[in-house]
Amino acid sequence: MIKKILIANRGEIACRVIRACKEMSIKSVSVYSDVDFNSPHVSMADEAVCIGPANPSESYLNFDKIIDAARLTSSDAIHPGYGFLSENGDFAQYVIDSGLIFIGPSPETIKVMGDKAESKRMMEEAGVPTIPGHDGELNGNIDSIAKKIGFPLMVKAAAGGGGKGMRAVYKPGELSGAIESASNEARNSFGNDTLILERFLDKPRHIEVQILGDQKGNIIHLFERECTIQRRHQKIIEESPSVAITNKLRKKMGEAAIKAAEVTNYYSTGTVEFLYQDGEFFFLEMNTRLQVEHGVTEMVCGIDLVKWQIRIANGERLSLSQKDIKQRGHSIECRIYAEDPSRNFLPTPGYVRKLALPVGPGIRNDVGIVEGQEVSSSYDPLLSKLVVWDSNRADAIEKMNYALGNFVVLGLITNQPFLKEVIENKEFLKGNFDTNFISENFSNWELEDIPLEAIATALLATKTSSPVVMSKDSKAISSPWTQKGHWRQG
Amino acid sequence: MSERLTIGGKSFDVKLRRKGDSFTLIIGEEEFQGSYSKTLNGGINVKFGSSNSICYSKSNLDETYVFANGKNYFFKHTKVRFDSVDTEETSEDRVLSPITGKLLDSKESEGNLVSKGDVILVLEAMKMEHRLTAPRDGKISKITVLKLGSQVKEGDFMFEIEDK
Repeated sequence: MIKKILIANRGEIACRVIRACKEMSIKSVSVYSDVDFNSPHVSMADEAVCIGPANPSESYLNFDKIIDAARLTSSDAIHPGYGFLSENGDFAQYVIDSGLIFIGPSPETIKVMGDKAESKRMMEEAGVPTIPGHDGELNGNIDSIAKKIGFPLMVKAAAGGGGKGMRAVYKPGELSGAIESASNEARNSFGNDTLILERFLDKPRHIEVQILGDQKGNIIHLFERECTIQRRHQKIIEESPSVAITNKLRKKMGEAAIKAAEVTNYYSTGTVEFLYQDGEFFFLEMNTRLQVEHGVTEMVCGIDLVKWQIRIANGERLSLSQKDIKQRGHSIECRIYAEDPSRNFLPTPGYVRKLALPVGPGIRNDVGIVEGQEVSSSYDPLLSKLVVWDSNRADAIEKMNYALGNFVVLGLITNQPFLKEVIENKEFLKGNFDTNFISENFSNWELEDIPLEAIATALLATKTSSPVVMSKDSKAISSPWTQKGHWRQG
Repeated sequence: MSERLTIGGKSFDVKLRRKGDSFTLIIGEEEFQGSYSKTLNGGINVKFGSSNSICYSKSNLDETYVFANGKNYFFKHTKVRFDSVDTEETSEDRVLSPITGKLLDSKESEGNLVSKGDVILVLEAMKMEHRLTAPRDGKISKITVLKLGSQVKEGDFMFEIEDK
């Protein structure tokens, strides 16, 4: 029986898992690096252990420090969250060998599915459709391998995920540079620089299926998530259900996901990612963990996935059958990142000096920051996930627009204004988009309208009181600001 | 002195005259009449005509973060003197770090000849790589002396390029 869980993660996902523990009356233990000492996941947990410096390899990625912290606190299970060690099969094995419970699938499953080449072979054998590509060693004549697959193609880290270590290559001349930078990023993010190449679908949608299985062989799916709104392969807006697929296709994808889970003896939560284009879907990869965007599935299915992960790790039987699972209404998630959308999404660390979150029926904040906290440059820029639910897509979009419009975060630059414009975009409203949507519609994005209220507030904040003198070079501008409060930049 | 607000790479000369809870906002040559009151939770209720909006702000030296009308904004302030001459060197040949992060790799050294687009330095922040490339063909006349793995702040000098 699990009585105390150590969460080997940080940020919003650590907070999410701690909340589930509290609901279930299970004790929680956080681990943290030096720079995270005042992070909310540290204060929320029943106990917290400092495990080293900011550099992840000396703290959040260090097996022994995490196991030592679990022993020190007499924890009996470890929840890995997502990222960090969540898809490291050796770590899962190490946890088990240390006499602890790993909250996730078996180490064997993680290892197989973490190897993209191996997982693709297994899917082909199981009859799950896959994309043409090359998954062998990339030595010898890379150019001829690439030519055989055809352009555009994708260079991907075999151990990757989350857009790290991935590069699209449109012509042969770009190949060597892409391989070099992808392998560097792969080495730094995953400690493994093995790469695979494959055909790149040019107008795909990214649609994934949530699965949930117990250790007794029962597996169900919890329908799909549409994760097509991405920037450089990093998801920013997700929703469920997807407007792109028919009920017939939805059923087919769900069945394919269950097949994928069955051939890998899957248990716990997992996600089977597909690329979808022109009525066809192809297996992309399987994520053997809780997904960042799991919240939208929880909202439409009315199921707490983290609590189920814990119950399943505890050996409990899945009491839900496929017919119990219904998609109800519509849910959307926006990821609030510490990135500057007006400067090509450069990371923007800083201090959170004010944070006021939107509230109301059907609004959920999975937040990982608090006022007064420093957001360091050492970690992922995800600050918070804003999730809404309503009875249909149009209402859910309306609600998201309201919720985003009441999301106050000051002290560092975020992508909030950008998200608001995406949500308001006409093609987005119609559901008419593919994974190129952001790069095609929002490249060189800049703020269009600066309301008079914003300028007045900026000046009221700094207590200016000197006489009016305009600088010599100020241009005479012919009334570009309208009375209703919006000031359009020239 | 007037004040210059910079947002999203564009600058505007602005001025605010206050009298009690009323103010006149001057942007360029336009004037707007408004009023304001403070809210209990640290906000400012800004009114223009019949519309009002609860706004929030946090200032730090020459920077102000503002929430207004549903969006979060970031302004930089500079006091502009009458006779000021813009002496700041804004040459594109001088490349400064656009981010705060870590110096990951250095591909070139002082004196090397490079072509436009060549990767000179690689930075990393929030787990993403950011490559600094040569803005034009030329010679690296100066490059940062920071060791690989060092912390880099936004605006730090990275490298400079001159004619071959």
